[in-house]
Amino acid sequence: MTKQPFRAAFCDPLALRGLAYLRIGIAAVLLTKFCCESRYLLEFYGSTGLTSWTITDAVLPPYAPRLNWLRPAFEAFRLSDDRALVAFATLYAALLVLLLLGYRTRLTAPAAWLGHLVLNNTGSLSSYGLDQYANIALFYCAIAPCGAVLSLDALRRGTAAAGGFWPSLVFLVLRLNFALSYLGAGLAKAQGPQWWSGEAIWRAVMQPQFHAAYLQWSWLPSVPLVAQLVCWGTLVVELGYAVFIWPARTRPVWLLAAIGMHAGIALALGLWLFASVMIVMNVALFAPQAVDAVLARLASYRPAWAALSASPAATEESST
Amino acid sequence: MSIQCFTSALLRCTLVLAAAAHLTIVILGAAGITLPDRLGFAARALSVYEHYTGAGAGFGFFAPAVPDEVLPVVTALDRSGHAARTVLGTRSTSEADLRTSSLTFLYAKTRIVDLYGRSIAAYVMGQNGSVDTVLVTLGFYELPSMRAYAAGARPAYRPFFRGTFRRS
Repeated sequence: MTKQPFRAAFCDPLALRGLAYLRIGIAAVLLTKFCCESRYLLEFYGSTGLTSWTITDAVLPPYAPRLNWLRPAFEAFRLSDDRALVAFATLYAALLVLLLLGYRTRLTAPAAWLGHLVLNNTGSLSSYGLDQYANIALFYCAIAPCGAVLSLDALRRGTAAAGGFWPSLVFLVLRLNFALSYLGAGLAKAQGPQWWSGEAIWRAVMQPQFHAAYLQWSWLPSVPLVAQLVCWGTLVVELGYAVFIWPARTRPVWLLAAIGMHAGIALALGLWLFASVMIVMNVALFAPQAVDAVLARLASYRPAWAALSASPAATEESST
Repeated sequence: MSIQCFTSALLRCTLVLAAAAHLTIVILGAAGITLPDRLGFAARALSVYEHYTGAGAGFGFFAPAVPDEVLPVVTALDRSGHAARTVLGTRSTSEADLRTSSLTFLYAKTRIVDLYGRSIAAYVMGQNGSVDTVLVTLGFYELPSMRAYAAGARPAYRPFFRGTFRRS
């Protein structure tokens, strides 16, 4: 009896779909990030950008892969640093497209992960939380069969992929890793008086870097209780996540609270891509069945789309 | 138990142990604990593993406090004396602004602002050949507390670094 939950954890029927949604979501967000940053590529990643490669080299640990390592190859092809950067970034974006489509994911997922590491390290001094979570998500995509379902690989194979021990184990570890990240964030915040007095939210929304032109916050000091409640709410969601995301009864509440918190961060602070990564990870890891339900609903509205998205094996089954 | 079954069980146990070790590293990373350098190879190997997998990441965003933002004000002067002023980190796209702010904050935190000033000046001169002189000012955007703001105090810009860089 007591062995059942233990066995269930290592044979999770949702693992493959969860990993597939993570793959699709993370690739989509990183492609959007690439589009947003493409105008500023040389500024943040270039050898003569705001931080030159010489400075980055001095700051990075010796084992961190970076574009400067590839300089001899660039020189062999007579590519300037700037052109090599653009070529590398384009290759990385192409890998993300292949990952999104699930084409040869056994190769494209590790390659996209390494590509992300190289680009992120090259512009490491200007990186922030989004890059950190993206690295974690891509690492798990690289080691797990993230293209087993909902992918071109699955369409090519033609047979339904079965879950198993390895995808279930990776899925479980990623879930735990993600839940621990909330706990770490919550504990770090709880140590600061600003998070108890409400000042943290006030200071965040008023900073020029997070200033959203469509929102005004000058009214907040006249009702400081609002700022205080938002801070307390953040602490409750982050500290409680590691515990309350697991039981089936409390999961929907905590999931909605976390998604609401990230949507609020996107709206109030303009951290759209960071919020997107967090929402993608929340949904893929803890509610893949909800995405299944949405897709099924969409499929019922659009029979043609359903016929296209059904795998050959499923089509055969339904016809017999 | 057949040899195949035994091998499979052994492999699974090894993978579970590896997963447990990985999660332990995640916990250490989230708690900001690093192995002391005197552990030599083990500490180095762990650093490499943490860097590649992201297992050593800390997650203290906006924690324990939200600091004053550091704003770089850049004035570029061309040979004819025409001046163009920009505040980095307050441009149109939020992603570029976020990256600029992260960069500026890191330089300010590590107190190598002179190097940052030089980097900005070199970048501006590299982008525009007619720029002869670049003035870089770094300053805190000081925000009053909610109580002080309600009493009439307003945000202020307090410069802590000024550098003038000329094309040599």
